[in-house]
Amino acid sequence: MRASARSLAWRLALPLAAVIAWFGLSRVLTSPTARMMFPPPEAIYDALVRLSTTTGLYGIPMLGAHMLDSLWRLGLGFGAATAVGVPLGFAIGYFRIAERCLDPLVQILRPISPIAWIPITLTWFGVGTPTVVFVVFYGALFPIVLNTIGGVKGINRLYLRAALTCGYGPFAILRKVVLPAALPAILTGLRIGLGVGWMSIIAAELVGTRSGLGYMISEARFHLDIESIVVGMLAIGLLGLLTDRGVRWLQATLVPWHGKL
Amino acid sequence: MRPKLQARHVTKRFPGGGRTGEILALKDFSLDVMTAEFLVIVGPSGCGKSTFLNAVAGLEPVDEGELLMDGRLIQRPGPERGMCFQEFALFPWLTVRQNVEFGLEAKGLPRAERGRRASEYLGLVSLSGFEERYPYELSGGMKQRCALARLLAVDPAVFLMDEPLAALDAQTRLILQTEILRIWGEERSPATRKTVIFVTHSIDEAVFLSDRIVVMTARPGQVKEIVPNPLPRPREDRMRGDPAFARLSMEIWDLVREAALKAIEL
Repeated sequence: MRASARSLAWRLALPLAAVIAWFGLSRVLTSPTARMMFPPPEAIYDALVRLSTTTGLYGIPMLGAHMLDSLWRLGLGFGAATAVGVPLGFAIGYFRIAERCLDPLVQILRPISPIAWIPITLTWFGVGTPTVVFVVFYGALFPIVLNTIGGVKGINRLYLRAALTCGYGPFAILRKVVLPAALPAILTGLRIGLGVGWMSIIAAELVGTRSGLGYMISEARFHLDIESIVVGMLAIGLLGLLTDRGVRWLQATLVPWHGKL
Repeated sequence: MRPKLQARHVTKRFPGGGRTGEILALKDFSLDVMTAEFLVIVGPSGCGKSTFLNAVAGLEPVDEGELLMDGRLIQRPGPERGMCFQEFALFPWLTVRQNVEFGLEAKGLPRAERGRRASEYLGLVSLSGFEERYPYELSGGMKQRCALARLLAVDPAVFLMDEPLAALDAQTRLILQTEILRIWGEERSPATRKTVIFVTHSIDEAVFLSDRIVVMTARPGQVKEIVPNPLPRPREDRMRGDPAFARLSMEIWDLVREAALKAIEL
């Protein structure tokens, strides 16, 4: 009990220090410009209350509606990236012919930032959810593909030899040995992909939609409503933390043996 | 009696990387292994003994010569030649029981039969009660017992053992040597025993376990000498102190020493 309390104290120490520093800065810097750079915490709190009590889309509070919109767009894009990225990574990692065909394409597309795709996707899908989902998909795809390739290629040869001497063929080995052996790397890819997904979605929503946390931030910017911008940023951080927890839970459930020998 | 396994003039090369050039791992290597024989191969590091084992397993194609089992050419891995590795090669994502059943699934045995056999062999290697543990929860000795159970459950005709005890501490090693002989069926009639090729660089281990000892030369690997082991079976721990045990160990060391010295002079 005491140990867990101490662990919690360590976890909270740095965020708490940041809040206190922010508080201090907003007290010291009181000119109108500085007030915009470091809006005082109580003003941020007021904005939070306002956004949580004003009704928005779906008849629920505005902040919740924006969070919900961002979240399900992220889910769609990230889900599609997983559905495409994992099989693609397996193919490139396991079959030489797939590597020859697909790897150059992956390496050419990979350095193009998902942000760079926003203008052209707007011409394809217009302003709205599909544009945002595409950008998230694109951003999350490459970390997933590359980590899956790494997991498949990095498999301990010994596992393959053990399976071969038991009499297994290549497709059974793919399913029963390569897939579980690559799973830790795949899950790492999902975790990184999720992070990139969050970074991409906000950029896409800044210009590509009429809802979501990115849109909320961009709207607040036009009204010089700095407090709402900070609320939006904090909401992104919170959702990012929660979704990352989700993937970590998946890791603990699917690969409890990982990192232990 | 006709040999279970035959190596005829086997040559194996590995393409070298960059400046090193091609490596000749085995050169004109010929050897007969009898049915139910416990054959131990000793030789210095890098002499090609593991390469030979991998070739018999069907994991490495040979460049020249041929490998035969029961008179038939070995071309690919198969469950009739089971292998045991120095690093255990247990699957970390499977429990002890699932690891043992892994080989049985390849044979297409029904679930109930797999479970029955897994329990039987886990009992034989004294791992009952650890069925639901994961490999990372086991000690090195227990891991190798589990790998042994996996090998036994598949019931191969030939056991290929690539330094299976080399990663274990000295005491566990001695205990497992006796265990391996018990499991092999030392106390039963020779007709029920499997054919074993056991690779090691421990001379004591070779003397304690073997029917015959093959001493290999330094690279390129060739048979330097085949020494029959006259020690009576069943082997017991106290034999390690016998003059005959010491004499044979010394004889083997005399054969290995020169090659071993050559191998470490780089």
